[in-house]
Amino acid sequence: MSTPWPTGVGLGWRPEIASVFDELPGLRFTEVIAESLSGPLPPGLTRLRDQNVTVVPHGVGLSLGGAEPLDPARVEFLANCAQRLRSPLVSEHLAFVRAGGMEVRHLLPVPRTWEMTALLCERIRQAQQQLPVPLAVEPIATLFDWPDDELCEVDFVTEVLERTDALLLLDLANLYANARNRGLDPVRQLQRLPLERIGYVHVAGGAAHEGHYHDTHTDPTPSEVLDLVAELGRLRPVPGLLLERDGNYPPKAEFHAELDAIAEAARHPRITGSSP
Amino acid sequence: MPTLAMSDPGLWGLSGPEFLLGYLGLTVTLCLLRLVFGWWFRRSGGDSRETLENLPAAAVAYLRGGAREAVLSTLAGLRAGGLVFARRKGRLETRKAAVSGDPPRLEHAVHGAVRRHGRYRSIIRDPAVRDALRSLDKRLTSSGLLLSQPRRGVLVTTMWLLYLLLAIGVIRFAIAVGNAPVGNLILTLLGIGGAVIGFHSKGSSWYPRTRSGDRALEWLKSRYAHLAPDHRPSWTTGGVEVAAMSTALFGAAALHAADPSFAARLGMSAAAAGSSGSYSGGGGGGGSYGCGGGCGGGGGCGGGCGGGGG
Repeated sequence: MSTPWPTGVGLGWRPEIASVFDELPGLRFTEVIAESLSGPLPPGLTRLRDQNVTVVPHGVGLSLGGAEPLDPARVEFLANCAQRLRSPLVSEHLAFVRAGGMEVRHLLPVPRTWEMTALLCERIRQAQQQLPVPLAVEPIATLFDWPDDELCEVDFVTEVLERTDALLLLDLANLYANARNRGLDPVRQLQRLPLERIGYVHVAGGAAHEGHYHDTHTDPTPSEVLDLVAELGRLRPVPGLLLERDGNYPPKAEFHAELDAIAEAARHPRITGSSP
Repeated sequence: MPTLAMSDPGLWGLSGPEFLLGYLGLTVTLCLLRLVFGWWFRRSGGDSRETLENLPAAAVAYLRGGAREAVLSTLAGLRAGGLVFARRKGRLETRKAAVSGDPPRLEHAVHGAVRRHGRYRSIIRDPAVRDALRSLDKRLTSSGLLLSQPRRGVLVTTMWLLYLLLAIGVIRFAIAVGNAPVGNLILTLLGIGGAVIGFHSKGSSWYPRTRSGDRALEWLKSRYAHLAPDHRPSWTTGGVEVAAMSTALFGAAALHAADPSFAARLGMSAAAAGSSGSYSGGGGGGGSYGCGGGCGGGGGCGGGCGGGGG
């Protein structure tokens, strides 16, 4: 039997901050990078699963937008993660990560063309056929657009989702970064997305550097992203909302404060156990 | 140099065969006693998991490796709490006159010892520290996780008797070689040597643990597997508790992984700490696939698959 659908505020599971999870009494969901689960499940993750905390495997290796065919073994691995974790869904990215047999080890943007839309949809359907649970796909943050783009980001994402019936992993930090770096209004971008397809949401921190905003995941969540959380809450109930942090980990008190701020913006109960 | 012949009364008034018979008999008896005592003494029961969860880091460190490890774990906690630092190799200093609140006894004692002595190697000899360590020992012994002092005494005595036997055999060999057959003596000495190595390596080198103590340690290492140096636990996030428990369970390697400059000033090299300096890239055996910055924008989605990922 699977764990519940992601709800409330969550925190991305990383072994470096595993101790934080012992002190989040209200935590009901988390997410783990699927490709890091090649061995036995870490005891901390197993404990969370056994406590009926939803653990979503978040893949980074399918390369849905890559030129090479989808590797069934990688999809099978993601499916296996879902089964081991009893997850109600899995997630991946609208990106590519390898080309010409070379692993780039980074999520790279795909050209937003009609041809790429068709390719992505084909790949997503192939993956969906092999996966035992629904798939949520995440549009990534990118510092550049391909010169032959035919669709804007919102239309591209909407097209892919509607053709495949996949869920949307809405990363508000990515949406903010992309809008800011292109002089667009992030609220307007948010309003135009098919919000009814949201599976769950990411938030994360970033930093400005040499005129660009970088979705670093190693900085605190900025107020602008929290404002987007609040805006999403005005448009519809906010589903599960996960804080991603991949390094430069702060003291526990700062982590708790950030999680509380996210809960407040989303009007979700606090998971830290502190009083509002 | 006296010489020996088969018909002689022999060295020490014993012919070769007489010596060998008695020597073998004593060796076998002593080895058997050591085995039986070791097995019997270590059978004692211990604490429930509930109590193990509440065991402070210093006690865990002492259970794993004795006094030095308990002091190291305590220093790691004090360092993570900003109370102790090292300006140069072997010299420690404190930032405050005393640890605030109601700290554990060893923490208070180590902090005071740092203020009084400054030298890392002097801390363990400080009377207040030794007193606190004795208290830890007593706690673990009464919990059945460590052998009682009398039982340790018996095991130590049997080991020293084995060393003595070994020494006697070596001396006999040195005198007799070239003068009398020593083949059987050599075999016996090899046997004793093997027994000594076996007794040292059986279980662990920290013999005072009972079987319950061994099980408790394994359970704790599993419970706190996320604090192993390979997982690079964030001491900034986890604070004093994570620093102390990580060092308690995984020793100098944990300290070296999290705070290499402090470890180096305590005289711990990466090689000595057992740290290869490499990481698995993630918990759960992760890191077999790396994905760099992820989620675009030069960061996100676990730079390096979760900075190590799940």
